[in-house]
Amino acid sequence: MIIKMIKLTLIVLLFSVQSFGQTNMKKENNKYYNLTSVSLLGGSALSGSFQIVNGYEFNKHWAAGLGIGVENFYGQNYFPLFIDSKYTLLDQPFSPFCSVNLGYDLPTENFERNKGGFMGTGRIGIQHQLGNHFGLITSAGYRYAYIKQNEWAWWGNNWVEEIREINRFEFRFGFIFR
Amino acid sequence: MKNTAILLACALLIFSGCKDKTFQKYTANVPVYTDFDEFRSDLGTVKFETAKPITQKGNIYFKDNYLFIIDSYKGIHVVDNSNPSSPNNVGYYAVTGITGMAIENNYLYINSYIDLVVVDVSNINQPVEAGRVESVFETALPEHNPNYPIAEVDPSKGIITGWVVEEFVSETEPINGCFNCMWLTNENMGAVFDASSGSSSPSQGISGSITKFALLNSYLYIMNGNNLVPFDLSNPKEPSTTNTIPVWREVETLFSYNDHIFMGTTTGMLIYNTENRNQPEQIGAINHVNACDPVVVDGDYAYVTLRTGNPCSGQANQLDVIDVSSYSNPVLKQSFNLENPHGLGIINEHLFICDGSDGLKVFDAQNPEDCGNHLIKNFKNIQATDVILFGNIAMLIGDDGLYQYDISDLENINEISQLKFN
Repeated sequence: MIIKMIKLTLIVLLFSVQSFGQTNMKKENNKYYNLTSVSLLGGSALSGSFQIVNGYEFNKHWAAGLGIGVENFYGQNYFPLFIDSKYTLLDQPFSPFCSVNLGYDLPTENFERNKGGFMGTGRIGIQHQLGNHFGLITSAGYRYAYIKQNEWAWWGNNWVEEIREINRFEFRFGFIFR
Repeated sequence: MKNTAILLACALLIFSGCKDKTFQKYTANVPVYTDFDEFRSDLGTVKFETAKPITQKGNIYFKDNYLFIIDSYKGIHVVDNSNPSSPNNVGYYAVTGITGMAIENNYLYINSYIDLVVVDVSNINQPVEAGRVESVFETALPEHNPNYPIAEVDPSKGIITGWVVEEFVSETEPINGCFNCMWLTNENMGAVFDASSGSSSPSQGISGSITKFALLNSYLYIMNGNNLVPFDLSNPKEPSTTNTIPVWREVETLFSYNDHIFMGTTTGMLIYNTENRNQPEQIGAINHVNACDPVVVDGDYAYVTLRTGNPCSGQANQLDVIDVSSYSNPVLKQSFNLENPHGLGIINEHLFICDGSDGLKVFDAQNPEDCGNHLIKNFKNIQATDVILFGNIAMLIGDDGLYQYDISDLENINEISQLKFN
């Protein structure tokens, strides 16, 4: 029941933040943006990731936002909740950028045992603005997560905390809406 | 194009380092190491000290009127038993890591964790180290907390002389949970090894039946984990070992008899001949249900006690009488129910069984296949563990003390002394 409520809350939060961002784009002269992207995470294993960031451009170069997504590591689904900051190199429709995510991978199930953990991403990429309201981004980066999960010890009388350090490369593709 | 290729190559190089890591964090027995040289010059040498109070049971060993009680991992209590009616605790051999012993002539052979140590005990009050075989028992570890697994062990760091229970982070699995690791602990004695087996040569000492040392024809046989290790004692100060014989069972006890070694294992009794003393060869075996099972042999019969309990996952409490007239074909002749039998001994066709909380039981074994029906004496109120029979005396160790009995008249056995533990 609790798990369902958390999931529902996250979904509501996801869409409310997105609609809030889109509503305010007009008011704030397109300072607000939405970045929706998918990526392939590779390394020890291959997995996919989906992220939505709703952010604000402080000036021609700096932007920051809040993000949420869905991803999977070792058979467990996680909602990454994170802060995204982005630096765009040029004030041009076609510009390199770099960005950093910092946040927490929240497990979607097994809350009693799966504790989730810190996540972070560093990326460099290209942003291509195709109009006033729409653009594309593509990037490559490094993805890190530190996930904890308790397992009942096979020797039978206590718990083992299993810690996974996720080290993945990331290829991401996404759309920017203003 | 060239730049793109270089860029891709660099990216691949960077990304190839992207490997996940998995750690396990758990509470474990973490090893405490002592430097090899430090151990062999101090903790692992025998030092004579004044008598200490005996606080708990241990393996017992008898030689030349002295009774030795092993204080597991710490030393040996020396008891002058020249007058069995009044045993006298006269000294203590302090040596770290000891769990088993054997004496041939004037040389005491003990394990001190990974080493076999030879001690000249010509003068009982002045033991002198006469030799040492280093690093022969590499699986020897101190007693650990069985509720937790053992963390990573690195033998190159030194000799493990203790454990600390603490949180441990490892990239690998713990080596075991050790609920049934007989090579690590023994429920009765808390030992890697036990004292040496019964023997008949006057040059050798005698121990109870719960043993992993066995002296036979100038060889000392020791169970090291699942390996039988023969030591040639031709030069008693410098035992030499060149061979190990894997035994694919959990061996608990060795008993040497008639040029053969009888092994009590958790799943049966094995018989090895020692025609080639350096390469004993299994010639017979008989299986039984899981149980701890010391064994003694007399004539054509082997007597095996099976008991329940943690270390052996035992399923039965009984005495098995096995016909070993053909060593290659042992045959179970009879089983008799008992309470919780531990060590045993046989003398003059009388079988002594330490039956746990039911005390010491003496059976007439003139007819071995019916001996279980001929209980002639039962000394209750003793948590009896093991017994040595020598001459007219039975020396029994229990949970709370050393008990001795006059057995000169086997039909009329009398207790003659108690040496209570503090």
